Formats: sequence, structure tokens, C-alpha cells
Amino acid sequence: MSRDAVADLVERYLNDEAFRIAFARDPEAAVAAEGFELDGDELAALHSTVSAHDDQPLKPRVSKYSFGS
Amino acid sequence: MTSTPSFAAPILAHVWQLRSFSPDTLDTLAANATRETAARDDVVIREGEAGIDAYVVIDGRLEVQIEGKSGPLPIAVLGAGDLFGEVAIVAGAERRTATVVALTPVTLLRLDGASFAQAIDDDNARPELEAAAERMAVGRFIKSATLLGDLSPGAVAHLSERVRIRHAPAGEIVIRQGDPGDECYLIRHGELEVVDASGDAERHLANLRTGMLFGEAALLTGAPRNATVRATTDAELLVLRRDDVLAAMSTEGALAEHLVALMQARSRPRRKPGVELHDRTTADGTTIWTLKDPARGTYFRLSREGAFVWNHLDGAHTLRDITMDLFLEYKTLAPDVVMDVVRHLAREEFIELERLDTTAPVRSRRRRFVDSLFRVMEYTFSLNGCDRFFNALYQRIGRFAFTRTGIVLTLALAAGGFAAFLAMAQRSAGTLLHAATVARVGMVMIPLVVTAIILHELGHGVAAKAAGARVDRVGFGWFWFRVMLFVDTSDAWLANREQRMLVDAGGILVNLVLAGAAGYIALLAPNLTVAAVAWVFALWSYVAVLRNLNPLLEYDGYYLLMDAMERPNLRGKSLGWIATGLWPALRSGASLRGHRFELLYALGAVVYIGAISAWTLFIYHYTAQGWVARIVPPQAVPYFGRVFAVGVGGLALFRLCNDIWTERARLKAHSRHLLPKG
Repeated sequence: MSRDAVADLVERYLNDEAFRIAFARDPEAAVAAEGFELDGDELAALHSTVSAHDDQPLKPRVSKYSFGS
Repeated sequence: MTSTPSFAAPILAHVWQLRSFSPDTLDTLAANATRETAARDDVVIREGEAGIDAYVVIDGRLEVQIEGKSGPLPIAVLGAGDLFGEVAIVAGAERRTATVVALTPVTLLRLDGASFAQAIDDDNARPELEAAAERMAVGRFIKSATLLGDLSPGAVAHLSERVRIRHAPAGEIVIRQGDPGDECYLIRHGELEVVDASGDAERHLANLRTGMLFGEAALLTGAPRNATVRATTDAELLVLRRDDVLAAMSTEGALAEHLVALMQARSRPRRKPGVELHDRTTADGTTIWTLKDPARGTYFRLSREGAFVWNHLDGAHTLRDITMDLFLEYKTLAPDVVMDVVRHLAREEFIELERLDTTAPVRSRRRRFVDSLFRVMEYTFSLNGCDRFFNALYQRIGRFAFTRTGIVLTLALAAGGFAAFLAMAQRSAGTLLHAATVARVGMVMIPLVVTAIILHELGHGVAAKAAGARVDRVGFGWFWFRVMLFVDTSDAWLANREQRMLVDAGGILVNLVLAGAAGYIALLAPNLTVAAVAWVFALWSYVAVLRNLNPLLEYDGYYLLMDAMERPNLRGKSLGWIATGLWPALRSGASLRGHRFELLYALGAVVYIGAISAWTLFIYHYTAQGWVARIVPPQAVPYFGRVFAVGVGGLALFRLCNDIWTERARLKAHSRHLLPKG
């Protein structure tokens, strides 16, 4: 897959809600269903990101002491 | 089926699509009409099947459906007086373009297709019926081929009646950058391109094709058009006006979410000024990035990819640019990650995005109730800007506790005092408790306990200074029926694990030192009353330490456990896994070994609810019961205790459920579903 084709895939993701929903369910199947053919490296690239989903706001650290505790 | 032409004429007279038909024509149609009935769930006409007759609903309700990729999509609901099946006649087609299913038992008037076609031409009714058929076709398109597919049938019908159709020949500019805009467009046919025309040369941003929507940003924000859109082929567009879209958004939550997501996906976000990016490396060599917004005292944890995205949010890069850069830099193909990071940063107000010029997002009634309840039950009064005080306290006194001598003295005082406390307990606990009761030490204990609590909080603050963190806020308030003092040590998120654990333990260490000192006094004091007061204070301190170590509530023990395991937001994540991952794991037979901690934590949380209910009952029995007995009939006294216990347990259960709901919503908000597959 060429860089232009990856760019097309990305563009499609950002502009097409239906593709986004399908991608959320199963990225590999959604990409294949739309005719984007990924080679081994690109498939690995598609699967290499789940840890980034752990980005999150950190709750305030409030050291509290209640009179009942 | 029964033939009843005599009563058909007055029914046809009330069908609005037939209002241009003459009385003679209606009589002819009525003469050839038959009455039919259908049971609930019966299919009256089926998409793709042959059939040219039309129907009028006499009574009952039916649903018009079209075939979608994943099943039937409802596009309209029909009731008494509605006409259907006429589209094939008007279009001259012999195949049904939609399926109509009875939602209730229905009575219908079936109109002969040949008579109907003749009547249309005789009375020149074709334009009106064609317009109605076109509206149906627009509704079908909206429902089946666009991001508006989630809309209810009523909203689709509403929009279908109001859209305007615009034809744009290839090369025509549909919207121009910088112009005001109060319309957005759905592409029914054709292709268009989006370009940034702000510089000397146009910069291609995106291609748009059938089914896509554009022009939403100016419509939602009230800002000028942020790009130019030009047709690259002959195109047919459905033009949606701002008022109609906003009206649909006010009742259709999914539409608002889709439009905001689309706008964010096409945005060029910018980092909020003043936000700092910090990084640190954990013991296993992993680098963790943390954003800090000093103005609000808020923090956000980022992964490697998240930090990469953050560094590219300069107001010039689009999400497409960032996704491509991420791919080239790390060989990570993750438009969903980029979009998630931007969406979460926008929600937490770490980046600047165009604000919606619409009403605020609608919170559900349950969410509003929960938010209000938590605001009331965890109300605080804060004193800000106290970092200088803690700095001074640390420099003048606190820092000595972190020298080698200070640590040895602290440990000696705590350990030796504990030994003295135990020795006194073994020898004369009964005598001391009796002496304390006789001397009525309760009044003496109150200032001692208050002082200890203040020192406990100061201990956290001083430990935070030792870790290099700021302490900007202290205060008091109540926490679910308990008055509390607090110190905000959020800045410790930037510290390493050991430093954070020291901050967590700072208050408990103070309590142990105070308890140790009291233990020595109890051992050495010649006066029995003084010894009794000291011993009871030490006892209270040790009990308080143990209760503070409870990891199931957000006290010191919870933070210690969270930091020791390097798992931020540990409670929500553990309970979230129980709510979202346990059942799929059990169903699929997957091993639970990797989730032992989550299971233990959830089990502990449930046991805690039972324990706190039992404790409430116990406390009621030994303290409040006598007081209650003075104001209620004796037979009602035991019931009060049970009501208290159930109430306390119920509130604890409510907090547990709220944490689960919150984490579940967080997981569902991700672009790529993180819920385990069954």
C-alpha cells in the first residue's frame, strides 16, 4: 500500500461516519471491506495502538481526612 | 378481504395527497377500492417485490422500512389517513421501493393501481405526487446513506420536507472560505474537494463523496467558513438550513454527537496556552507524559502516541496531517487514536477548538441528578494559593524529617511508642479505659483529635513539598455525612512512584508519630488520668491509621495502592472491567488470571458495603438507639437502625454503581471499541 493510499484511508476515516463506526467494531475488517489492501507492516501498524487508548484525565489527588475515619 | 366501495369515498376525501383529485375521480377510485385488514407484524408490501396498488390507512399504525446494510431501517411511521404504495405508480415502476410493516392490527383501503395511474393523469396530480415521492426518496437517502442514519423516522421526515436540492456543476465553488454560513450540505451524488484557500496557493485538505456531509463547522460555531469546497464532478446536494439542523439536534442526541465528532475530525486544534507537558520514566523504563494546566490545576496522562499528537496541535496541522505524521514516525496507523486524543483533550479543555454556537450539550436527567447529588454530598470550601505556606513549613521544619536523622527519629518514635502502647495495653488497658471514663476525657479528646487531623493534612503537604510538588489548595467540607479536612496534592502526578507514595503516606506517618509519642507518655506519665488520655489518644490514632488504609474508598490507602501499582484511576478501571469485561470473559471461557486484581477489588467493594451496613447497625445499637427511643415508640426503635443501615449501604452501593457507569461511558466513548469481544 502506498503512502497516498494510507492517506486516502485516513481521509476516509475522518470524513465518513459510517466507515468510522465500522472501523470501531473491527478495524481490519472495515479497511478490507472498503477495498484498502494492507500489507503485513501496515496491518501491524493498525494493531499497534491500543495502549494509546489509555490516555485519560487524571482525577484530582485530594488527601482527605474525615472526622469519622 | 371484503369489498366496501360505499364507505371508501369519504375516506379518500381526507387523504391530503389526493386533494387535487376531482369528486368524480375519487368516486371512481372508491368504486375500485377494497378494504383489507392486517395483523401486527404483517408485511403489507415488501421492498423489491412486484406490486402497483396503493393503500390508505383507515386505522392502526404501520412502519415504512428500507433495507440497510445491517437490517431494516425505519424511515417513517404511518397512521390513519396516510397514503402509501403510490411511489411505484407515480414513478411507473413495478417494484416496491420500501417495505411497510403493521405495527398494530390495521385496516387499509386498497386502491387499484391501474385506476390510480389513470386518475393521476386525468386530474393532473402528477407534480404533487412526484414531490411527495421525492421527499420519500430524500428520506430514504438520509436514512440509508449518511451519518444521519440514526435519526428517528419523525426527524427524517421533518428534514426531508425542509431540505432544498442544489445542483453544482463540476468546478463550481459551493462554499467559499471566509464567507458566513448557515447551511450545511449532504452529497446525494457526485464528488467535491475541500481546499484551504487562506494562503497564496490552495492546499488540498480532503475529498468528499456521496453520503458525506460538509459545511457543518460554520453552521455549528457561527464562525466564517474555514475552507473552500468545490465540486470536482457534477454534484447534487441536499441543503440543510441551520435552524432545521439545530432543531433536529435538540431532540436527537446522536445527531449532535455525530456532527461534533465530524467537526472535530476536520479541525485544526491548538494547544491551550500555559499547559505544560512533563515526562517521567517508570521503574520498568516506560516513559509517561503528563499534561498540567496550572491555571485550573488539572492533569492529563498521555501515552507516547498521545504526546506525539499533543506536540502537533499547533493550529496548523489537521488531524489527517497528524495521523500521517504518526504513521511515518512510529509506523502506527491510528486515525482513531488521534481522534480520541483530540476529543478527550477538547472535553477536558486542554486544547482550543471552535466552540459550538448552539445550546449546551444536553445531560440526561439521571446524569444531572447524579452530578447534583455528588455536589451536595461532597461539598468543599477551598483556600487557594497556599503553596508558599507549605514551602515555608517544609523549609523551616518539615525538611528535617526527610534527613537521615529525621527518618531514624521518626521510626524510633513510631516503633518505640507503639511498643509502649502495646505494653500498657497488656498490663492495664482496663484500668486506663476506666480512668478515662471516670475523668470524662471526651472533651479533652476533641481538641486532640482535631489537632491530629490538621497535622495529618500538613504531613501530606510537607511530603508533597519534599517530592517537589506544589500544594495550592487546602480546605474543608463534608464527604458523605462526614466533616473532613483536605489538602490537594494533585501536582504529585508529576512525581515518580516512590515520591507519590511518600505523599500518600505523609499523613499516616504523622499519625504514627503522634500515636508513638502518646504511647511513651502513657508509659511514663506518673498521673493516671494523663496516662489514660494519652493511651486513649494513641488507640484512636492507630484505629484511624487502619481506617485510612482502607483502599476501597478514596483515602490514603487507596492512593498508596494506586501508586504502588502505577495504575491511575484504579477504582474506576477495576470496577469498569467488572462491568464490561467479566461477563464476556466468562462467556468466552477466557482466563481470569490476568484480572485477579479487578476481581479482588470488586469483591472487596461489595464486602465493604455489607460491612459498613453492619457497622452502622452496631453503632446505632450502642449509641443512637437510646436517643431514638426517647422520641419514637419502643417497637419502632429497631426498625430505625435497619433503615439507617440500609440507607448507608444503599449510598455506598450507589457510589459503586456510579463509578461503574462513569468508566463504562469512558470506554464506550473511544473510537475503537475497547470492550472485550464475546
